[in-house]
Amino acid sequence: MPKDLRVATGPAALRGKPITLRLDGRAIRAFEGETVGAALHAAGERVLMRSIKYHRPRGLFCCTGKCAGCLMRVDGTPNVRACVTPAHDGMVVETQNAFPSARRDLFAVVDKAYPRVLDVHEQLARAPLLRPIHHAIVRRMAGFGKLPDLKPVPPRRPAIRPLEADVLVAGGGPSGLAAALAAAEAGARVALVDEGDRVGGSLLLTSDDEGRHGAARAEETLQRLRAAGATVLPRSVVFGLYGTDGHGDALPAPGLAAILTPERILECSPRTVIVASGAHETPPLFPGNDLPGVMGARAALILLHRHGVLAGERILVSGESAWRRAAADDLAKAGAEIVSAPGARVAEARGGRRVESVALSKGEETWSEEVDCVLAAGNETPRVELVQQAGGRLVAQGWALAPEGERAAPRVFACGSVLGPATLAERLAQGARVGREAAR
Amino acid sequence: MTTPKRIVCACEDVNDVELREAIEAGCADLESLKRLTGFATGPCQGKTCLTLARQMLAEATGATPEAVGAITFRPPVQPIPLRYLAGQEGDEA
Amino acid sequence: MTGRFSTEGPLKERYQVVVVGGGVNGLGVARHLALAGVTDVLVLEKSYLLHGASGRNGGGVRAQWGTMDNLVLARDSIPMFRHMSAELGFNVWFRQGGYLFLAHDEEKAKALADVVRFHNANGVNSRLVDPTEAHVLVPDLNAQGVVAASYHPGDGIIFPWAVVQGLAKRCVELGVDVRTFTGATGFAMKGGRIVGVETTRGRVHGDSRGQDGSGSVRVECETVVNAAGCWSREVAALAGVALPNTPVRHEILVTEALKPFLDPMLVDLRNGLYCSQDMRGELVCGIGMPGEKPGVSFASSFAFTKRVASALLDVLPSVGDVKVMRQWAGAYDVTPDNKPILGPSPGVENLVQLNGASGHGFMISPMTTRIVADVILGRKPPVDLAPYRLDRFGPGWQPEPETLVIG
Repeated sequence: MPKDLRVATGPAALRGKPITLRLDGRAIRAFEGETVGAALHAAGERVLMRSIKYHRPRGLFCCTGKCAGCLMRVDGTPNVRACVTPAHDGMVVETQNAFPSARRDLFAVVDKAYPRVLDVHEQLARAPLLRPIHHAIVRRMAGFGKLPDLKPVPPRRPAIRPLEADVLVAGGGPSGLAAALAAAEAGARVALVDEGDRVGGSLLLTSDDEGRHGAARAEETLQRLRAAGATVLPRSVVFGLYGTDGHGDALPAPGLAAILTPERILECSPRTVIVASGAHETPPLFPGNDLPGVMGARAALILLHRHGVLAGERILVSGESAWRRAAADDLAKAGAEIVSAPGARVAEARGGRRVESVALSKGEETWSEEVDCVLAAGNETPRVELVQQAGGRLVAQGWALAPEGERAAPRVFACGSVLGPATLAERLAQGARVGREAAR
Repeated sequence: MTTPKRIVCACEDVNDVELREAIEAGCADLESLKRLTGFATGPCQGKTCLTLARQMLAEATGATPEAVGAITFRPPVQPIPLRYLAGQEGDEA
Repeated sequence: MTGRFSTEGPLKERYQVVVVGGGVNGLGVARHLALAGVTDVLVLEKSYLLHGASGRNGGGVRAQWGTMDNLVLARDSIPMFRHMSAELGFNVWFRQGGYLFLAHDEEKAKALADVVRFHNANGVNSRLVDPTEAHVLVPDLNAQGVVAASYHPGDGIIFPWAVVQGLAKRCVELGVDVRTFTGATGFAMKGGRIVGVETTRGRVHGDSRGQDGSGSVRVECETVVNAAGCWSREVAALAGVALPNTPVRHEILVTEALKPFLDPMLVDLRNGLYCSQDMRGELVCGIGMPGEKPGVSFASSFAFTKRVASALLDVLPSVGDVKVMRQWAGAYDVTPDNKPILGPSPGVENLVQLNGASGHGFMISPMTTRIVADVILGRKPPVDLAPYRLDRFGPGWQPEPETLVIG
């Protein structure tokens, strides 16, 4: 019986009443307020799905709905991102793309049969007699989930409505909140869109230098925003900035913003868009980098601060970055054993269904540690999609891409960590400056 | 035990060996590399793998980080259920 | 260094044939020429392989056309697609699950019945099906309002990227010079013939917008093939030849991948919606946008997304919770009669047209490239060239309406 990884929750978390989920038929104890991903992780369920080609075990990496490592069938709907889906009592969760289940998948033999690489471009191309079987197998092995259950048919198709705003802010982290507030207090009609069930982004994961938890700052800013008449849309996302209409005519900059909210899609033609979409963690490249348990440092902070769940019992934290340091400190305080290996790099992560050990190397020395979690995030990758869609230029930032500057595209500003690493104070100041500019 | 692959594109299970072989076969730019290996064509549409792929391509071809370029980030920036896009009057969620 | 899909190094000073356009048509005709022993061929692709319509289409392959001239090309291309993987040594993933055209009123149903008769008289074994059978073919179909449908089991879906990659690989193996990021910028003319092609000759990484400033390179040749898709009109103009082609944007989207549940390509004749499930399990869908202005644009609109999603859920209501992953666009290269333009150009005999396929170029490409190769080789093509010649648009010409244009 795996140890429950839950610890006490902090100010940014809400652990409600106990509920029960079913995972592939098994009962899983959870709490209202948790995401499916967090609940499963707390219960020791690490293998959430199997990868498309090699059927390698996969699980949480980013905890923000970006990396597609946690796609599960939830209440009859395929390819649901468990890490951002709120759990409710009686929820039926099933693993996908595995037989009989992701925990023990017979198709994992493909990973072993092709240890180096499986390339189907030319496989059996010159064997026409085998083609029907070959194609049937490939087709059957493709695809990531089955058609949704019929419920109801025809489905609900909520009407798409317009959203009126002068300034549309995409992203409610520290800089987005600051920008929205500055624009609203300068008299603009502001709409703030954030993916989180609770608006605040990275504010919800840290305390500032005076020890004040960011969640309090986020809450205070939101109150002021609402008092200034701004529209705040949590659990929502600006999913496109469109530059042409259905006839092929160009739309005036910044274009048409399409927003998904839990209720419906909203269409917004703002005067200005502020892209405060932040950055997300992307994996490092070492053998076994995709094993469940290899996770972003920020993801571990999300699990801890938003759900009161430890990323692991014995955690290797490698490399140097603000997120990794915060994760190591906070996880240690919460009772996890932190293995630190300064100057060492992870040579390999090993395990059957999850990380069981890592091989470390430093100079000539190599050694291994038994761990159940590796926080070894690689680059932070800025979320630049909307800027590019608006015609903005992207520049190299290390190996990642970032907008060129605060004036990111015609009628589009950028602020915060989408532009690169910055301190909290810098982000807040930049957001406020950009918000005032945008309101003009 | 899983085999010791270095996975670059987790969505489409493209590892470093496959990317390198595609680069050696002549894919000297991101768009060609994407179309041959399928990297960045899965559910996350390159969010997770693009930085690594840019690095690998630059190191293999000697291009600068600027010159390697980007792929096109089309809408939607996250997958959107069809029924919301098919919204109709009088049919509420 | 030579890659498997393209060639590097300096261009030669002279080639027998220069093909402008490295899509399914340009590479296809080069392959036919090379197989016939004419390997001194240069294919000029101005961007990365699959940049144009060949890389943007939904992979539909159908014989169900309303005019003889389109039907013959499509019908006879199908067996060529069946053999293509073996010939190229590269999987093209052709799956013959059929096409199902849906008619929701008596008039369209009657038109379908007529066209099925026309098919059956011309070697295409399509059949008219009633709503019950349509439901058997597509269990998730909302057959409400369907009066009749037509179904041809031999129609199918192919993976366009694999076809072009396989053709490029085969061309390089056969000794064809395939150049990416190299475009044609002008023609040198002498006595009513093209004697040379000016090309860009930049080396690029990443975006195709970089050039190393080495200036243009001129290549001499005997024959030029204009296989430039939506840019065909511009290319022909470089030789002073006017093409009646109009590029028009068409949009398309793809959903997340699901386990196989949809075998045929579904077409709704009320609105031109098409929807199919590709080999990866994704639904690939497009629809006509009324009022779309002519021009080469690859931009996406939200109006399209809404329109196609609505039309799709009308016929496949069970996909409401399936998610759209990506949308993009390409341009159809449209002629006044929706038939391709093949063969020599009046006034410039050695500029051979291979374009104008009006949105179905990919599926007729095995035949059109074969025909054009035959013309260049001086052989008798498998069909009469007259209906496809550029000079058909003379005075007194009346277009024969093609009823089954979709997307």
